[in-house]
Amino acid sequence: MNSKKATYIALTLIIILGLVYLKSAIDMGYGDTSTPGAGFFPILLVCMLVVLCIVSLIQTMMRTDDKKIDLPNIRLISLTVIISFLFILSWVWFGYFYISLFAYLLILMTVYYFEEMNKKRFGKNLVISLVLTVLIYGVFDYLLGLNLT
Amino acid sequence: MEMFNFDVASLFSFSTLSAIILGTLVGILIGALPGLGAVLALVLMLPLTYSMEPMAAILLLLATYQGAEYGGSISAVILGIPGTPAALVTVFDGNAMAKKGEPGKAIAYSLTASVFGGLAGGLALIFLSAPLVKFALSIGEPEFFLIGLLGLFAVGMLSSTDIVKSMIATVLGLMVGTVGMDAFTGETRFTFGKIELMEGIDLVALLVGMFAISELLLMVSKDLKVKYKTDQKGVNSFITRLEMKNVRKVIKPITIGSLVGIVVGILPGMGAGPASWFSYTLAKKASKSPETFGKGNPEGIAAPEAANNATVGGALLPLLTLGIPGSPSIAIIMGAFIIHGIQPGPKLFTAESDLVYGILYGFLLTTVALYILGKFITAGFVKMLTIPNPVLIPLILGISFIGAFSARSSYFDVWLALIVGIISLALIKLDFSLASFVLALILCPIIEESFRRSLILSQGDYSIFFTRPISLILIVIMIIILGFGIKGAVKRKKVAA
Repeated sequence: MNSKKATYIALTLIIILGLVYLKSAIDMGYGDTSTPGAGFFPILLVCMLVVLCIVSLIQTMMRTDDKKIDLPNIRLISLTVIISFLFILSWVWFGYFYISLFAYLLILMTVYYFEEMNKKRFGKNLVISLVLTVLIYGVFDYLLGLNLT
Repeated sequence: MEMFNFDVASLFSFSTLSAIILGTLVGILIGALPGLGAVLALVLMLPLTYSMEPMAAILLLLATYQGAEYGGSISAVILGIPGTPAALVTVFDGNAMAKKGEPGKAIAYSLTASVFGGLAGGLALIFLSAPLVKFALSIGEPEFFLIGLLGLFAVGMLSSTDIVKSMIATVLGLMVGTVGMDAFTGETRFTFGKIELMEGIDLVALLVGMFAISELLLMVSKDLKVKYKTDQKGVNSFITRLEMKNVRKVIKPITIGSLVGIVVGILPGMGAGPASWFSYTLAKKASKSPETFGKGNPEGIAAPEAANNATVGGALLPLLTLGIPGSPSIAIIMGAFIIHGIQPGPKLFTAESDLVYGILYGFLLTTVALYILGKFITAGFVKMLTIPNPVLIPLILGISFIGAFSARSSYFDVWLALIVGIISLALIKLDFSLASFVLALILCPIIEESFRRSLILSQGDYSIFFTRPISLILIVIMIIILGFGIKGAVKRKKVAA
């Protein structure tokens, strides 16, 4: 995606977010300038946000250059996010944090080393994941007494 | 004076000393690993502070910060890759000296300068805090509002290439800062019925998402397959020792670096990176052999390294005396105060004098710890520089999620950290300033409360913000910063064209 298009989308989303925020702020009550209510400051913020977004939109429209947004390895980033999502989900649903963590570390390392994957590499990943999990258990559970369930 | 009545012996408790040692070790390690840096080190350490005494918690973070600033120079010297942005300048002469076969000596110069810089920053903190507190106690709500605004303004103008987007990030940060209970009316705002949002968005989860997860996703994008190599021979014969005659040679650049670091540290929006560059340029100008800069001149290592550590003490001054953080790193340290229910600012010097003076003197202790640990364990850290990113990234991601959870034992915060991480990555790619966002978020209570109180005091008359002498001076400073910001933007546009 090019930078201009992405900026338009981002600014539009921010304005929508601002409007949702504005609705809640209006419900809270503005008060008056001598006794400002809970919505007073938020309403001022939304006004500023909308003005700034419009200025930024105009600036973007007037820009003659347009570069492509460079995000190499986007597939790996997406995989990292998905695996992280599944890790949190398994932690929330099943508990057993350290088993989930071990699996999380192993899967991520396997994905990152996918191109050079063989039995030896997998074995290495397995050992590293196990050592790191034990290390994290030692620090957080044993030393700091943090109950991660 | 209360400052001199402080019982220094209280600093030598087991909890305080172990916090300083742990912070220094983690700081050096994370600072040394390329691509990570001081902010990430602080974010990872912040959850640990929950279960600590406030003084140990703050000193843990200060030791981490100091350690990370020094640690950045280790990879700059050994690999030629700066561990932190501030260590970029150290690459020029540090790596050149290492290539000449003296990596240990280069690191020793860096360590010595970092320690001197840290001490200078600490002394500035001790001696300048009293007059600044006096000034802070003499000003009223409108001035506090304007000082908060000035901090945001400076960071917005100086930390980003796109001023308008940076200001949008600032307003978004303020908006997020309003989530939770209103301090004036007790009304809940923008919680959408979520009990987890009653006390506002959890700072730790937010910081983990913004500065740890987004940074790690960026590493996956750019540096996943990067392999770092160290010269094993140079590493094995690594001794961080410096003779007195060598130290004497770099006293001048260390002094320059320390002074520049303190001044730049105090200014909001600047930080260790610009301080290193300024001090390097000044040290080169003041040197008897400027032509050898970039070829392994120890002065080129000493000046920036003294500067980046001196900024730590300098940057703490506005935080402790005015309650205003000037950079994301200091904002995270302010977060630790808030976690413990303490609001930094001038009143802290009377309400929590033991804590404040403990921090001031403890800061000097963190510098001593940096020297001792840096001297004896740097060689060990050098060997850890080559940990491959496919191992490092999953490990830090795992620790980051634990950090987000541990703050309130809440799964909501873990989800929040992940979502904020993804959004932050998009914002970074679109040139929105995360520094502006996080400073605004942390400053929001001060700004909103002083703004509303000022209006109540003036019975709704806005002239209270620009008719008082100090307010006027602050507005003039803002106009000057705006001028610099616009000038910089025009200059960048011309260069791009």
